[in-house]
Amino acid sequence: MGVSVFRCLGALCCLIPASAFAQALVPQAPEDLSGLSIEELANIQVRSASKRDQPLSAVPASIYVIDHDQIVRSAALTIPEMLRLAPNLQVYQQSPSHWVVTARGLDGDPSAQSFSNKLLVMIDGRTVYTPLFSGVYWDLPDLLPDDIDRIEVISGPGATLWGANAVNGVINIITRGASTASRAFADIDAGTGEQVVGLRLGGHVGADLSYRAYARWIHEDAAEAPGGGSAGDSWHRLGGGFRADWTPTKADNVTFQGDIFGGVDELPGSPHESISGRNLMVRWDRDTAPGQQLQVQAFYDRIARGQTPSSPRFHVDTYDVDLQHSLTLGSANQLVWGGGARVARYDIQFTPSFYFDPSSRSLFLANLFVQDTLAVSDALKVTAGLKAEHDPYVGFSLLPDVRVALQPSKNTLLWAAVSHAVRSPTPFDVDAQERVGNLVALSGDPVFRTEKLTAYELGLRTQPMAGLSLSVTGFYHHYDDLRTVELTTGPAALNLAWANGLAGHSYGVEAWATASPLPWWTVAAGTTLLHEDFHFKPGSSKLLGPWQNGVDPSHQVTLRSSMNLGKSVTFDLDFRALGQLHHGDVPAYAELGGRLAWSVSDQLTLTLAGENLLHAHHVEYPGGDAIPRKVLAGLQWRL
Amino acid sequence: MWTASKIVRAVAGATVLCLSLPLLAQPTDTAVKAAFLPRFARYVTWPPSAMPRGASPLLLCVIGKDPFGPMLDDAARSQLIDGRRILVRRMSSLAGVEGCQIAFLGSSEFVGRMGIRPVLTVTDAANTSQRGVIHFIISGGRVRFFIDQAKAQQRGLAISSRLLALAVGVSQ
Repeated sequence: MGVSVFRCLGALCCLIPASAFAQALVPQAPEDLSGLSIEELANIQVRSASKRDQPLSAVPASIYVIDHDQIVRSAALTIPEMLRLAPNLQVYQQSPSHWVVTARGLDGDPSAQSFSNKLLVMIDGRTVYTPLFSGVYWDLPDLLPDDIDRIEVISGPGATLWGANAVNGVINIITRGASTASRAFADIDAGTGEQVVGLRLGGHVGADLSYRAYARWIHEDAAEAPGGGSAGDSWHRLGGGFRADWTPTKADNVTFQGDIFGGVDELPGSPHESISGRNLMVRWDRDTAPGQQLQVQAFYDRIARGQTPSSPRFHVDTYDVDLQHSLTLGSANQLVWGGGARVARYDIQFTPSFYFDPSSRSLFLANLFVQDTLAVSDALKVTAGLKAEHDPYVGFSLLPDVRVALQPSKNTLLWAAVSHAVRSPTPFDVDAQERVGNLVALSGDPVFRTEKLTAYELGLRTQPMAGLSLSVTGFYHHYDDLRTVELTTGPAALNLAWANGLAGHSYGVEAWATASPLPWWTVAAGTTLLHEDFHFKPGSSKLLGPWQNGVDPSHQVTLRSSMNLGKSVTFDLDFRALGQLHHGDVPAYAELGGRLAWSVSDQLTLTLAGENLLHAHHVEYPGGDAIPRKVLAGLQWRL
Repeated sequence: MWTASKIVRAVAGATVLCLSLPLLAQPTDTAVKAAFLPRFARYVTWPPSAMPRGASPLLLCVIGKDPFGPMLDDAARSQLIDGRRILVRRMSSLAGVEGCQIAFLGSSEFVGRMGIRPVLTVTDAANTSQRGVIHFIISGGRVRFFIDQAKAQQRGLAISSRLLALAVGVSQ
């Protein structure tokens, strides 16, 4: 039962890039705004472009950016719900508070105790993960949707910039600067099975300091157990936090931010699980010279979850410092280098049948990286990077990455990449001990190796005409040393241990397109196709199946429609269809979400939103709840 | 009730159809900012000494990096302020800025060096955290701005209450 604490995992480790892949959209042809009054102009909804000027079309990676408008116009109220908007992610809801998120497969297999653990997730450069098992508990992070500027989703490895565990993808959630916050904001949504209240105040002190502070309450009713009846897993969470941006000089920008939260996840038939956490971060950006930027960041983060004092519980305190320096060398080279250090101190108290040995420890991680982009010609750029990362279990790992970007015209980018990434061992891989009476013993592997990926990618991104954009990526992933359960010798009747017994490959295609057929209407479509072929390595005892790292669907389709109906009404629809989960008894399904919003005045917006509208219930993940239809009415007020 | 497959067919069919239609974009924040800039002139009064002679056009200067391109020229062309047209000038430095009525400052280095001149300085939070008299931000998916009244008064600029009412914040 202790293992249930490990439900829903996702990613480990390391480095910040200050949004190295920033979004900026090429300005579109000017539409006629000249007839509008200045008040109408101030009220027009815009697509937000971002701070950096690297156009999205020039980034040689499979990157999709969920922008602010897409987030606030969707029915999504929590971060995993927002991640459904990225066509290059697979998102599964297990229960009201537990989710599985992955890219390019390897979504785990609960029957083999394997979890999605090859994704790196960050909020403003702070890693959102549990270093004990390289996973994400999606009920821990929460933000006011209106505070999110964008979510950059990179499918495929990003290890050179981001570090170990950026294996199958990177999710980078970037919040807005405090200066953009309105003076007061309230957001209330309530409906079938869910109530959410968010409040925010913002302002500035003098010309150089702006701030915002928020609080948010979320409650979700229990879902239905797969066999009928309540799954007994309602949850609630209360959180709050602040962000302040200070510009003491024209070259310096200092950001302070922090959050604190607590909550309760009900568990069917056992004591509830408490969740809590807090974090504090400071980041200093300095334009040292034209073309040169220095960023220094430090954060402290604590997460804790557990049942009663004697039952399974753990907490992790993370202290992290990172530095990144980008500079131009001559006319052709753009260099980024940096490094970081992190201490994660944990304490785990589990049950006699499932525990960690040792139960508490400090993990020290450090890394150094350098990456250079060489402009061979105006149209051809080559980026090469290398990161050396040191972790307490395997010592140094080298993570190289080479990318070639060819831009034959302003609107078309062809790119190719070869990269290597690893998932470093964690206490769960090395120190876990499980007993079922005296019969079965599963133990960690003291010599567990990194799980390795070498990825080959080829991509095309193009904007053939104003209002139409298209991205297609093909990938071939070669994996080695994936985790398996092996027979071993020991004191119990049946002894099992983790080991690195699987290898194999996967290949597939990710494609999406966005078009604006009419000034007031945007449509988008996306798809992922995935083929996986894994085999046991020589010497493996071949327990369970070769698919034990993922029960992934072979395809996924997403469609979106976004309409501005007149000046004050917006109407958005999100459709998704996933293929059957292999070996997991979860059938293919299709679902639809949507939101209708009416801006009654500059201050007041009324909304009606729904999720999973096509079925009363559907199952998304093996052993997961029957996820219900949701309909919520909402009110947003801003001053 | 609709079934999923019907919706797939309906939406997929619509997507294919749309791609062959002429495509127009939703406005970018840059397009809306370009539309704002010449329009500010209507809501600001300059000291007489800072105005060009006779009915000469007002100068809207973009200093440093120009994010707007022809959008700004189009927007300026549609404005007539008390019988004056608005001309867009692009400048790489502050040399000659005293002839401008409105100056969009493309990077933070220009903000400190502007000094106290009767020029309506406009900055954008997307490029700089240093604020001019008017500072664009994106708020709630809309282009809005801060107004620094103290800076405006120092420079002899009077800003109409209609513009002040649209600001997300006014520092006195």
